[in-house]
Amino acid sequence: MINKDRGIRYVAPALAVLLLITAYPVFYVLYLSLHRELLIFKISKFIGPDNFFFLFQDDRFWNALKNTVYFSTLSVSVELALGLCIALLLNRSFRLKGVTRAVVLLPWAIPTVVSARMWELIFNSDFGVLNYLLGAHINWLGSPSWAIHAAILVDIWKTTPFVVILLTAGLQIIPGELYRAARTDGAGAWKVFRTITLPLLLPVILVVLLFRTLDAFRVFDVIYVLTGGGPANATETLSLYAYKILFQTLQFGYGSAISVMVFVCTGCISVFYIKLMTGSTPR
Amino acid sequence: MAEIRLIGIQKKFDGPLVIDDLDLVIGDGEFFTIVGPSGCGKSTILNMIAGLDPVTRGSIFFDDCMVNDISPKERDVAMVFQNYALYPHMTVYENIAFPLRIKKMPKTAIDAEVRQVAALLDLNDFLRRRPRELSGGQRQRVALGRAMVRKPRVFLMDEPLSNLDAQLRIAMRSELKKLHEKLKITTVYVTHDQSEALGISDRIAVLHRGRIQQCDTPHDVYNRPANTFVAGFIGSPQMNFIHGSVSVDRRHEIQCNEIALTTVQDLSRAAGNVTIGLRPDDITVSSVEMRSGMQVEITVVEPAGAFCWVDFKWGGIEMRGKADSEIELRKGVTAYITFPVEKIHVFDLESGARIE
Repeated sequence: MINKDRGIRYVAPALAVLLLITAYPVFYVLYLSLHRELLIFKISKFIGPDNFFFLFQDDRFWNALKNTVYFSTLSVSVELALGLCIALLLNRSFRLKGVTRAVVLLPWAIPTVVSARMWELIFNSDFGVLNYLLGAHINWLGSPSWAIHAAILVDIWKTTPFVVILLTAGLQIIPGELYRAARTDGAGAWKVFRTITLPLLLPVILVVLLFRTLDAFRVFDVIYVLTGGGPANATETLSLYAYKILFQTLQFGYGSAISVMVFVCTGCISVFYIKLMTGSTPR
Repeated sequence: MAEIRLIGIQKKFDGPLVIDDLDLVIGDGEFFTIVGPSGCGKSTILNMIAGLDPVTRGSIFFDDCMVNDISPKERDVAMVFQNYALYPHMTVYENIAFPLRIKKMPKTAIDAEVRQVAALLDLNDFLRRRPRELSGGQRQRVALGRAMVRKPRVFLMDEPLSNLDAQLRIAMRSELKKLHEKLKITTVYVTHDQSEALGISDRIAVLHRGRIQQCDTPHDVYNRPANTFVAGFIGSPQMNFIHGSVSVDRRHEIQCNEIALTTVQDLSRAAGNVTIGLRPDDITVSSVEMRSGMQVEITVVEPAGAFCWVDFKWGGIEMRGKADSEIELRKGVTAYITFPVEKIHVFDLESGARIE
């Protein structure tokens, strides 16, 4: 009995810190989302789910949600496809393999703000390298249809390495004997990939998808630096919208409601992938 | 079924030659074993026959067809791997069916074949299990089943029994032999276990440092080893090697340890120093003084059930022999040894080649 009490006492400080930095903010956001909070007018009033009712009629919210979904879907699927190709190439043995691996990882090592600034220069319509190379005069970051894709490109450039690391690790735990066995069993390269590599890599692919979708869905820094959500809110994602409402217009209640929506969406995504994972575990 | 011919095969990975100028003919329907210490290149030969590793130089023929540039897919060989290489995400049934599914055989035909093979290997109760739910022996049988189901022209087996425990290994040995007698498919079997090679094969190639030292029937490899390497590698416990000298005028006599050994071999061309080989099996150790018995001092007695292995010193030379377990022998005791003269192997001291 004494031991049990002592155990709780030992864990208590850590638990308190965790509660303070995780549970408290989460519940406070939930609390705020049910209030009308306007700091400058010192208004703090319980209004029930009114913020959410307003949210569902807010075109800017729907636009942000649409942008977020579009951004996540496109960037994650390209990252996965590209990452898989690179991982498969890196899994073969060739000269300078170590160096190549290190180089592939570089974009992931650069802080997002730095790489976003770098890409901002590349995309610059007047003196940017991209227009120079293409011999074009495209306003990459200034036109709504280009800007979101520019942001997606930067995200792909930056996070494909992350996908590559995880997938390479996944490929390395597949024993080489299995490939040889499949080849002597009569499978060609494509069949080996379809029947051996892909099914055995699936658990890792799902982990990659989970991490990447959650990250992409909460995307903030790339877009904040690159376009700030513009032009004409064409690149405004949920996180960015929430940030603007919270810290630019200081509507803590409404901003919190948007945050809660992000939280709900990511929660749904996690549950979906985790369900897939438990259903598909091959071993 | 096919005859396999390897002609002038060389294999090089990044560094030095792994296989150097190898010629080998494996007969149709033969159970052929390549045996050698680890790293001698035996698995490489297997992989080249399978088409998993390209040859650096030379050609491989299946019957009269050169297969150098033919992919493993079209060579119609089946391989059993040391770690079984079962597909972990498939059931036993799917594992065995895999080669047939790749061939796009109709489902009903696949089902019939898989069930037939499963019955033969006693796997019917496990068809729905996954490999990780099976014991080592069961996995081994699944791997065999997957190789057999296709009725390939050639079976390649890369140390298929080395991951099994000793008893199971011996049992599987005779299973394999029975299976081969039933199917009569050309089999190339790789092992580092010389007793396995002796027990299972029609013919054996002893490989060392990428070269074939001897290629013969198990009987001849054991009784007439081509050189000191083969003599030392085949047979357990290892053959005793002693220095001896032959003088020009005495063609049937070796001077060794101040004793003249009479040999059946004509040694007239081997004048000078030689290596004498004597298998522990052929040396009888006894506490009773025998006619022409040589006196030795016992150092270790190792009972082996029906008999004992006895380590002894014969005039300073450490050797091993065999003794009846009924006889009382102890460390430090003086004993006597005899061996039949026809069991004396003589090798050239420098090249190690057999002298007959």
